[in-house]
Amino acid sequence: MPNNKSLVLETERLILREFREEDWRDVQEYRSDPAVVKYLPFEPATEEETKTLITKIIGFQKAQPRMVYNFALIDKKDDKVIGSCSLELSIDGDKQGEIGYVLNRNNWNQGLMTECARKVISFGFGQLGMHRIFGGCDPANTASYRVMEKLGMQKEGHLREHEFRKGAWRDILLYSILEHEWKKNNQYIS
Amino acid sequence: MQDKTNLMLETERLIIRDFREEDWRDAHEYDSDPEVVKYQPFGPNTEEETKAHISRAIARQEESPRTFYDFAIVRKSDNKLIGECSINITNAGNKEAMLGYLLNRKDWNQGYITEAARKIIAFGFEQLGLHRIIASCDPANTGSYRVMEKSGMQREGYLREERMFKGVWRDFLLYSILEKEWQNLKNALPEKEDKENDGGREVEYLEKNQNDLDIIRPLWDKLNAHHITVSKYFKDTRAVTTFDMRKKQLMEKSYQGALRIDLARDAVTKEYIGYCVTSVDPEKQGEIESIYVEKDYRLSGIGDSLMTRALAWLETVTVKKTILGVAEGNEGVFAFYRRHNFYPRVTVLMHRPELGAKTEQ
Repeated sequence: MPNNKSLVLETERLILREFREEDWRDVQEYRSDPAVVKYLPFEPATEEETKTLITKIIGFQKAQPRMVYNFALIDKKDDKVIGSCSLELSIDGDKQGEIGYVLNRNNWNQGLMTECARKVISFGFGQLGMHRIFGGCDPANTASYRVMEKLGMQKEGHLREHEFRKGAWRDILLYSILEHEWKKNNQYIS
Repeated sequence: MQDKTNLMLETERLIIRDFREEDWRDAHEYDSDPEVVKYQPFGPNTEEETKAHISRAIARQEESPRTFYDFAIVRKSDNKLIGECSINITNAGNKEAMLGYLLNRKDWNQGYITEAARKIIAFGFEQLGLHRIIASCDPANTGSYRVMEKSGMQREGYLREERMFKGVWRDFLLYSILEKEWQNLKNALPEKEDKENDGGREVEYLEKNQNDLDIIRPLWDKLNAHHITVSKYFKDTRAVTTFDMRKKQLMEKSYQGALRIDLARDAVTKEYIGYCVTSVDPEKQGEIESIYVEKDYRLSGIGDSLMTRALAWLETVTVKKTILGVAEGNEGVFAFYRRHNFYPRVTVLMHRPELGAKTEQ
């Protein structure tokens, strides 16, 4: 199991590291953006809400056993937190967990989400010994399922009215990837 | 909120109630049976394991709020505990619960589980105020997913290697039913089902050709009415389509190729209650032209039987490929067709500028 202090991953254009309290300013920039939170289960956030969230995420870092890995995505060019990518291990599942991600609108359409998710999935299979990683998104959230498809995830289902979000029942598309599928096409981080 | 001592449901042949300690003996009969627990993460149980399972179910009756409902299924005729049926909250915020069931092998193939499942689903929506009920099973466990289908559930997904037990990674089929769907179904679903096939009503099957198309007229009219109801954008065109127009189309197809009508008839009343019209064109392309089963006769495998017969005929005339069309608004039938290996290929859009921008997406 990786030591929290040293938990840093790197891709061509990003650093992925643990969140720190001072990150709240950059995070608030995207969490308050209606376009970014359109498919997320909350309205554009206030500063207070974002600060509370960062504290909660830092709390997850200390949990024993650790169930949530939430990486801050740092743009190497300007050292700014431009989003997050998380892996949440299932309590009752067998070595499976859910991937989630969010990105500042200024950084959309550059392949950054795919780049970082690829790293996080490798981390999940390689370092955490997971067997199955799944992800869900609103059927209208094209950008999100395009990321999952580019990663080689397979669509397993369309769950109807699975979640009550922003005043209405919402469907979820379910995608997943298995460790042995990933191994064929990707390298693990060391 | 249900008081545990009063929690009891009743169907035509069954009592469904909370477990008691002494139930372990009857429960052990099926919990120790390898055939029954084949697709379960536990078992075959020792006596100790079964007693522990019953104790756990009883302990969870006390929880407040209660999220775990594991019920004993008792046959009224001899007071024997023949199985269990559970509904457990998976997500309280989203009002979702999961259905489960097990039955003594001696009592299989008599419709008991379907009878119990329908009652539990009703309990979940009516008493627990749920929005969505799910169920899952091994893809090879035909008996289990047939129960889900007969209870009005739809297949939503195929989860790969989701759980490991008995040394093997397991796949799961995922089924679900929504409260509003159940509202529509509950009047159509008979409470009891004597046999696993055809809902206890005896049904006969016949084949006819294009010369007897008029037999299906009243049923086709009902199908057309349904299409009009569910259509968002084409109510007007469907409303002016008559059976005579459709019959003319089908007759022409039959002259060029071949046409077959499979009929389902109530064996007692001799009333036609379902049909499937199948065509083959000169290029040896088969088409399922139209299929319909009367509301009261649904969810008993009649649609499946009609489809199976139609596809068997198409095989004998060696068609190269078979297609069918699903009307806009009627996409709920996709799961039925997928069971018979039909997959969506292309979506045909029709230009209707007269509908204009005032229609929402």
